[in-house]
Amino acid sequence: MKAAVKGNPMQLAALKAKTYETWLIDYLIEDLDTPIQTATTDLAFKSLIRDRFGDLRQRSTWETAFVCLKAQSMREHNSHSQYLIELGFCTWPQKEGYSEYLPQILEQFLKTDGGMDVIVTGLQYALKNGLGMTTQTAVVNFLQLGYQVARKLELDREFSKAMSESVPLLGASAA
Amino acid sequence: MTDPTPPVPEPQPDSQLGLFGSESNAPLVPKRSRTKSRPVPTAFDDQRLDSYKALVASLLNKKANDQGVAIAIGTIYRAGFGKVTAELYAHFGLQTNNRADLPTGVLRILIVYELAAQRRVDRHVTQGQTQTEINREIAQQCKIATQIMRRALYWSERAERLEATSLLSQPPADYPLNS
Repeated sequence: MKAAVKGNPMQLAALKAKTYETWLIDYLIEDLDTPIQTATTDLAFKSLIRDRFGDLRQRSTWETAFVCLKAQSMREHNSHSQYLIELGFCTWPQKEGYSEYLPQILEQFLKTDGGMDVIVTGLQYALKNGLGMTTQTAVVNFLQLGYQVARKLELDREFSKAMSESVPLLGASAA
Repeated sequence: MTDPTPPVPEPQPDSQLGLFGSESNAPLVPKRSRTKSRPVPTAFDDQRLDSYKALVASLLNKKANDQGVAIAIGTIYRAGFGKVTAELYAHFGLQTNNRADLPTGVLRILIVYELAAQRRVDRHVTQGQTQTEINREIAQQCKIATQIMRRALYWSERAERLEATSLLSQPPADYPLNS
């Protein structure tokens, strides 16, 4: 499924930094004066990654950590489903260089409580209200990815049913 | 015979009193007709999308990245409602975190916060060198704007209540201001 999303692979240092930034979001929202260190110097962060995701020397550990923390953060800090789709899933991954992890992030997101509803609602809003921050091509690609990931999770029937009313809007707006 | 009384100057609109900056020097354009132009669509549905969109556009304009936007918006919820985003939606039993489903009153307040934060972010000149510093700096501006608006909304609500009390609505005859 990785081949479905284009993008250069992320360097390990960048992946660690991105994981650290994602982990830090909750702390900064609570207190903007939270001291900011780095992925390699923050002991609390390293301890959490080691406990939850495994060996810090393995790239796969950091990939899993990033995917999980990112999906969790997107779910918790989402305040508008349409823009979650447009920005969170269609724009940011490409812009910030983590598009290779988009399928895993989406998979993790769909596993969260109510994740499927958020994705479906966001897509429905985007197709109904018109796109404000991304292109139609990007949404179509995301929709295809959504089907693939939903199929993997055996949620494809639900996904198709939920999107059946909105997909014709896509064709209409393209015409 | 000429009339000795000087001509009374016509009242000028606010734009001619220097209240709106450079507009005061602009020449008066005569109105061609009194027919009202088509009203600008100001439906609530549009506003609730636009305030968010405007805020995100301002954040991006000040070089916030995805983390920066998440922190800034999370900070607005935290400072404005005392709850992080997920908690606020859960409080109203909304699973999809969809702002359109929030109670109208809450959504209106959220719009006020977002517009205030957007205005403040627009005016701010970022000084941070690293991405993390920039993100934090912008979120700080959002927090200040939200706190100011929260206090303003609190006191405007409070003032309405005070005004409605019998003490102020019907002051006694010997009240100093009435003497």
